[in-house]
Amino acid sequence: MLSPDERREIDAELANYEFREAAGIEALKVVQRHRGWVTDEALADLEPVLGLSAAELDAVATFYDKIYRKPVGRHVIFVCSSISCWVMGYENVRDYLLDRLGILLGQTTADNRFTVLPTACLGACDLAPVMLVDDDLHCNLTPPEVDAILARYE
Amino acid sequence: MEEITLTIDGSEARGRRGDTILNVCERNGIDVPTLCHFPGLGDIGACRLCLVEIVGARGLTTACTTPASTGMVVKTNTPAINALRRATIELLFAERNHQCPYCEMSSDCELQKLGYRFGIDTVRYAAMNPKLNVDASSPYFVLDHDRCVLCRRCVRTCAEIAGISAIGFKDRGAKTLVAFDLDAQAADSSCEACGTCVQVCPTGALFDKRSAYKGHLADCARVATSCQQCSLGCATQGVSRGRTVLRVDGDFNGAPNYGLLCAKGRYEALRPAGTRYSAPLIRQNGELHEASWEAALDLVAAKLKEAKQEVGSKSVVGLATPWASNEMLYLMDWIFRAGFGVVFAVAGADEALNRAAAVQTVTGGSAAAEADFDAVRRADFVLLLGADPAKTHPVLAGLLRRRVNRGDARLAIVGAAGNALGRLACLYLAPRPGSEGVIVNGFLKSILAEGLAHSHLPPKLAGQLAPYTPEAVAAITGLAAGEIGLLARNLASARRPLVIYGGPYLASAELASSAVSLGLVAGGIDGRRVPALGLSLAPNGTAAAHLADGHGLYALANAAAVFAALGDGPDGQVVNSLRVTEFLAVMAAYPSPLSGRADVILPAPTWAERHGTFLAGDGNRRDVASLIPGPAGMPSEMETLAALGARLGAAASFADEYLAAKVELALALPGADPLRAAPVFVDYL
Ligand code: SF4
Ligand code: SF4
Ligand code: SF4
Ligand code: FES
Ligand code: FES
Repeated sequence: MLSPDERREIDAELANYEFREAAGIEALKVVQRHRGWVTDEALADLEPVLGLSAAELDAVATFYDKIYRKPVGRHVIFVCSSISCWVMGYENVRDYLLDRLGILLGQTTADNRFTVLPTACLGACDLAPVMLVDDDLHCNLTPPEVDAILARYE
Repeated sequence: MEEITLTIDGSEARGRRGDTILNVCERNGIDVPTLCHFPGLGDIGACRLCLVEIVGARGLTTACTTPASTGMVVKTNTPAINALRRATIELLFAERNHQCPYCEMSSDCELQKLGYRFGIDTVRYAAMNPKLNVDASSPYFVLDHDRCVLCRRCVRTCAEIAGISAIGFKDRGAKTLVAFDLDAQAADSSCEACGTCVQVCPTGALFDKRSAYKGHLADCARVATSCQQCSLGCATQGVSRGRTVLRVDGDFNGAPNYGLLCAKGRYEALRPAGTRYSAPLIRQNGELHEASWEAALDLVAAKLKEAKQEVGSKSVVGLATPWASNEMLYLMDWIFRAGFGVVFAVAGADEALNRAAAVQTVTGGSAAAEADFDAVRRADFVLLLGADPAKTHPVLAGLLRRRVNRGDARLAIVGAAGNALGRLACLYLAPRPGSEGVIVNGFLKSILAEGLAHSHLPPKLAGQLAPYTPEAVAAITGLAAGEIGLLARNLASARRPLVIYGGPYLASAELASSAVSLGLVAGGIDGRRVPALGLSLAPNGTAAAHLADGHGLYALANAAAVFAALGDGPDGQVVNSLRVTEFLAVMAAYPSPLSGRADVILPAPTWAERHGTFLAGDGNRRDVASLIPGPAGMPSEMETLAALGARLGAAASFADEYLAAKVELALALPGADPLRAAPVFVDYL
């Protein structure tokens, strides 16, 4: 069941669109904000609200890499692995980061603090290499800076 | 329709406003390669094979999604475009597993055809060889991701044609996979196994289990026919090879289904109903023995004559069901009633009879008929009154879902809880069982009181409405008075309302009349049709109702000798009503409880071998063609009946003339009553 807060936020989104299906992405973001990730149950809850079937909602949810269909840690780190960041040597940053957290790409730390995922271009190629932690973009990264950044996220 | 003129490949091409470039090409016989495009589905520009050049525009564009306009100069066939198409096709071959010789669809596959068309004898890209699953969980079809080209035809079909959306895409890019629900197996998903997606899949990704590896289309015959499983009579095409029907396809151009079928019509009909009878059987000392046709027919005729003489003509019954064709019904009627002078009865026509009586009562015997099935595609407000089409007439449910999903119609339901279309309803009222008539009277009174009526009611019906105030109706039905008024108001103020009734409303002429009255008052008569439609089940109920004189089973109560030709009709009721002591002959394709009691069994063709005409539930004609020949030496139902008729003293030549005239009349305008037009009949009861 959608919580009253979720329902209110989704209704506010619905008011912006002529067709309720159009609010699908925003509705997925709302439940993700409240529940941490998009559970099967969340999709079932959204079906009647959006007039979309579970299959259709899952198609949207799995298309976007920033909508999670699996549990993630408290903070999600997206390391850009696309071409500009690759040219600028993102692998060093990535390897350092994973090493510090003791996990592999796609995994979550045992204390549930961080999940690290790859992503293709964050639109900040001029500042490569970059990574996104929650909603914060961190640019021109070098391995030594990573520790300080991680320290800011509990 | 405004005309537009373009220049395509150097020649003038005409189209209509609203056409895409691809539409104009099709109209003008210009063959642009496509893969994701399928007529009737919304175009999405997924496959990029229809790329064309619009002179003066930047880059190339997809013909299937670009609106055409006057003055455009389009090139569809340049070396540059074809090089891109070729690369796209090669990438498709490289992306998954396309080892055509092992594939069910080889030679009928659209990807393979494109490969040939573009001369692809080698693929320049390394094969990706992903490890993908095969979902063979459905009893009817297989999903092999290895052959999928991600054209989304199946996804669009399920959403736009079936209105179910059980199937979608998961993930993106080359990793994208077709998925049922949240990645369930097809058999465990919300898929209703209508098979429409299987029919539209261009490759071997979705294929039919039954017809798999049994032949290429070039080896098969494709015959247009109609489904005989319910009163919709969906337009189908039987695909057969030799003496086997391989599969049944929906006809995308045929009413009332326009391509959509249900599991019953597409798949279940092909399940053999047992081991069929191959030769006539005669019971001697309790045992059935094979006999010649001559001997069997002679025996049936002799026994029927004997019973007529000794017990009386009212104790001899020729019994049919509304599952039989027009030709069979009328021929039986002639042989037994007119020719031989005994009883001809139709069992199982109750629903159709109640519908016919209702129209008669409500429209005062005018030549009006109920709505036709196409009315569903025009209606903007549909009331399901006791009807649960998802259970009884799944294709009609699909047509409704489609309209409601697109916002073209609103749906209201009055009936028991659990209606599968409940999710789509803007109003769902579940009155107490037993108050079916009361709630309709409440709607009628409310519509009349608010001055929203589009037609008068016959005075007799109108006079009964006084006590049905919203409050009184609310008390009896257990609903709120406001809900009753709200539904009535919405129905009667719609531009094209339609009342679809079923369940309890088919069970008596009174309740059927109240359903038809509601349609009449809410929508008036449009042409000769009342916007009400009863979902009776039997495929030839309309014709049976014209012929049946009362509810046929009564005739069995004191029958001494019975000749039963039930077509594919169920025989449960018949067996229960049967009191035969003297003699029972049954014409049937498969063993059943009824034939288990027969003294003589005459083998009949199956539905796939039969040909003839039916009158669907909306009175419209359906042609049934024989898809495969029957076993050698097996006469048609008509031939068997004619041979029996001749033995009963009816001249065969007259049978032909009579039959032609009768069927002609039956197929005349809907609502016409062939019986009334030709009073050749003797009263027998
Ligand atoms: S789907 Fe078509 S192209 Fe692919 S293997 Fe089958 S026949 Fe060949
Ligand atoms: S068989 Fe019918 S219901 Fe099932 S996925 Fe295909 S179109 Fe949808
Ligand atoms: S299963 Fe068939 S129809 Fe569906 S996307 Fe794949 S190739 Fe297209
Ligand atoms: S490639 Fe990393 S931000 Fe664009
Ligand atoms: S047919 Fe136009 S993109 Fe596929």
